[in-house]
Amino acid sequence: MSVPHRTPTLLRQVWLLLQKDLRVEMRTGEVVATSLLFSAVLVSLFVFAGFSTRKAASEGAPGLLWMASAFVAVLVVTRTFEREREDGAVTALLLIPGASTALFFAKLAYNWLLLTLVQVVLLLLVGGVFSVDWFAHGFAVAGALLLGGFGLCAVGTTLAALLAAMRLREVIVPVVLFPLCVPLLISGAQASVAAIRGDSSAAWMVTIALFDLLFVGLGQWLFGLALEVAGGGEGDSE
Amino acid sequence: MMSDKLSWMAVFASLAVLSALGAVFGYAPVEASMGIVQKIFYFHVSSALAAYTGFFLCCGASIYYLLKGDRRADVVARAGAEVGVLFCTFVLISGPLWARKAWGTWWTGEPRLMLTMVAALIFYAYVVVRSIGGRTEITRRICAALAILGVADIPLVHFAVQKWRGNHPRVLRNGGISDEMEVALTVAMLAVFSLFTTLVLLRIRVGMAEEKVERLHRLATARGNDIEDRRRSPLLENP
Repeated sequence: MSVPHRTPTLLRQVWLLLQKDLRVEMRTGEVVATSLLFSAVLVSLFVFAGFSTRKAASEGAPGLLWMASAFVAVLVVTRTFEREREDGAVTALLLIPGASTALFFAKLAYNWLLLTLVQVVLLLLVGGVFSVDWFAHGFAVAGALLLGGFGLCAVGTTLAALLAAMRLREVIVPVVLFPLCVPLLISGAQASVAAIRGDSSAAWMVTIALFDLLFVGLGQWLFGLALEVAGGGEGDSE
Repeated sequence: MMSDKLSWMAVFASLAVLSALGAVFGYAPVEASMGIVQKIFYFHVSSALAAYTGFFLCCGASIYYLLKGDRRADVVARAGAEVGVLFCTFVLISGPLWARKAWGTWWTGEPRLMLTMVAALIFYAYVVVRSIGGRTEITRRICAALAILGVADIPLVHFAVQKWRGNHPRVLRNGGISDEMEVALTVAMLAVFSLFTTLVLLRIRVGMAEEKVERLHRLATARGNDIEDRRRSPLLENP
């Protein structure tokens, strides 16, 4: 019944799916280009809104950095299934055995990779505008961003799958994503603030890691359900 | 039969609310430092508990729905969320009113305040998704997932805001409250929860009726299709 020597491992499935998305992205550059441009516009808005000329500008910089990350995450995440939907390829992906788990981790990894790329640029831009020397506290700030970005993408990828067939999803995704990510934003910003002050940010990191674990677990479960819906449940199932 | 029980429930809730008003304004003393505005406290606290009860009810029913696919669980989840949102809205209105008088500001960084704010936002989104998505299987599953994600988020939000703003003064536990106040609080709690239960049960009944109408409607259209196919007109919809 099963063909063991031809069923690739989960890791290999994830890698193949990720490779496919990365190849498309490298050829078009759509998501990266627009997200980078968006980050530049966003940071310039912070400047024009007068954030950078305040006295305690560097105190507020981590908060703005995290806010910008959340905005970019929405941008990246809402396009998770854009291409598949355009070509009607979701059904094809669903035919892969064990598709939902592999697909979840592939899409999560893809989103995380793109977000991290943009976050690096954001870090430089915000650091420059607010004259914060991130590199003096590099490890904690980068660690919080990496871990936090992962959490943002875990929630975001789940929501993107859930809301893929929804009308007005471009509005609904941020409306749901931001409140859910409040603990992440608080912990992320506070971890960076603590790092800048020279305090330990370990407790905040633990909070972020807890968030990541919880939402990767829940996300993976709900993602499977969402795909079931996308594949079979057009309309009512009774 | 069921409506009879519900009517009695409604009567009980009304009486409870009236006696709560009596206890709060007639029996409990006026608080020394905050004055009359402290009366908000009785309904504010009970409503907050009721709101969270609604959210947890919604989450529990949603898990059951996702696992078993029982439509009735979905109706219960919806009722819990909607009534929870109602009480949460009251909490978010009464809170600032009280804070304005007691602390001189509409909004503070108090942990429980922020927690309730986040919970409200998540469940407002739930209600919005419900109404945008319409009555489809997809929407039901999406909402069940949102409820689970939302309630799973609550302890984390609580932990994060506590750690962030934990050293803020605790209003309620500072002096403790007098015995009369405690009695009034208990009565108010009873009133709010009987009101909450009545509303949830009513909403469940409406939801069940909606389900039934939908089922009948589907049945009718399925039968009507044969006839309709022969004399189909673009102007005729669901005869």
